[in-house]
Amino acid sequence: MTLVARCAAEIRQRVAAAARFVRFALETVRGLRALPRLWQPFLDHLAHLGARSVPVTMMVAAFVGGIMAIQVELELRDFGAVSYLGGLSASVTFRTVGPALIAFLLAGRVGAYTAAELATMRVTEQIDALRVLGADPIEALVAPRFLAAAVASFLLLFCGLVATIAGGVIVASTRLGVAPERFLLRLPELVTTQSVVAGLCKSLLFGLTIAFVSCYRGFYAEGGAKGVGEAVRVGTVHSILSILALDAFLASLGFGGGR
Amino acid sequence: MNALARELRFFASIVGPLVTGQMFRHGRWRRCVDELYAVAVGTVPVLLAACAFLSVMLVSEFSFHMRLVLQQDSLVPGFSTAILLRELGPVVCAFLLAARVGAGYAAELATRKATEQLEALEAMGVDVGAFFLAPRLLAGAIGGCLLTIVGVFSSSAAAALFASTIIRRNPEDYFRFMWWMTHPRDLGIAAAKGAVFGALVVYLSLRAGMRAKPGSSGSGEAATQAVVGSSVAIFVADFLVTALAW
Repeated sequence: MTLVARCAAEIRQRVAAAARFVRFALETVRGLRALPRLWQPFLDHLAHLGARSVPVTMMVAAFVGGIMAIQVELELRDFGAVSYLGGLSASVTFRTVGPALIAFLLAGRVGAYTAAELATMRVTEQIDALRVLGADPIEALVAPRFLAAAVASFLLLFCGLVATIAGGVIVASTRLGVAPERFLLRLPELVTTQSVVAGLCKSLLFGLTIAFVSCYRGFYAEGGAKGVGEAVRVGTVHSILSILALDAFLASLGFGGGR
Repeated sequence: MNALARELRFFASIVGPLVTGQMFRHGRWRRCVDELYAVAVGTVPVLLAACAFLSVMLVSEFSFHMRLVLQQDSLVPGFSTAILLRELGPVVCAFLLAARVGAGYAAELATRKATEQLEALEAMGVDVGAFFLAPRLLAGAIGGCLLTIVGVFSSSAAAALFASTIIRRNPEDYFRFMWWMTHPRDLGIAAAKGAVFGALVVYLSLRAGMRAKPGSSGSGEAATQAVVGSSVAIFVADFLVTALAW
């Protein structure tokens, strides 16, 4: 095969993959219209994905808050500006570091479980069986999981962001010698409504990204049992990269007053 | 009690060959070099993309915070490099390792276990710990350390380039001020964090693979367990290292 033919084949393959991606997105959105009928599976998935991840997410988020308090104190110490510790570490955590780091954790928890579940259904031909029976697998399997993963990720990110403040307060008072009232002193001044809205909007977008990437990778898994592992691996890597890309894109647009 | 004994046995099987030097005999160190190539070189393209995105986000957000507190953003190079070196660089590398390498190791070991390849090796007198597990653990630690250093430097370089458009700061000026808030010790701690996270990710992934249920579903479950376990462990280890180091 000549070089030109190889390039043409590669381009054709990429275009086909992009078309499949767009088609999957449109079909998933269309599948959400059937949600009133699929209310129960949605709630089951939400409970399964969300409830089991709450303790771990809260614990990890508290660690993130603690880590950021230590790091920000380290930077403020030289300037004698420790009174800004609470406000600045909470603001950095809430709108920058927190959503991204907690979303990485959720890409590994919510995303990996969703991708593995759908991929197992694909490789064991359950999805093909549904199609043969005349049902729409995207409507029956993907739509409730997509919405459950997105809602669970958003709620977990929200709970996580609240836990980061608690983690920051605990570490500041026990390790850095900054009393809770001093830590919280400049919080209203530096954590503006704009920052809170920016953090929550980012959480929603990251939740949708994790849900979409994991559903897509799981639904199109191939290659038997090995394909399930591959779907988890590629789904998690792509979720992390998509989260970082989206974060950079929002930051470069000046999202939340960033510029 | 049985669970603890099983845990200790697995720990001994993976760390033992490294401590006794058994892993380095009969040319087995070459397996470590092969694994290191797979861990480090294979992750570099993904890491560079992640670092470019990370740098845009950091410069832009730190500019916002500096203007909020100090009403000017001249300290952005120093602050963003410090947070990158001390925190975000090692953590992002560790997550990429967990997703790319950890899930792959777990799925591969689970498949080998399900198809009885590991039992066949043991029947031939091959020490699975020294042959399969220990080289990967060492490669994970060295790879994590090297990738963190690559990640930190490439993110800093990308931040300097993007800073000219985001905060109107020329790259030369950015490079001059980027290291003034950090110490050489910080780079050592970042590299140590990378090594700890890399070893932890590989250890937990190998553990998930070796404990996989026999059968076709075991591979996917092991990969999921590896990613889930590693992502929690990274944060806990990060907190401990940060609290001990600074």
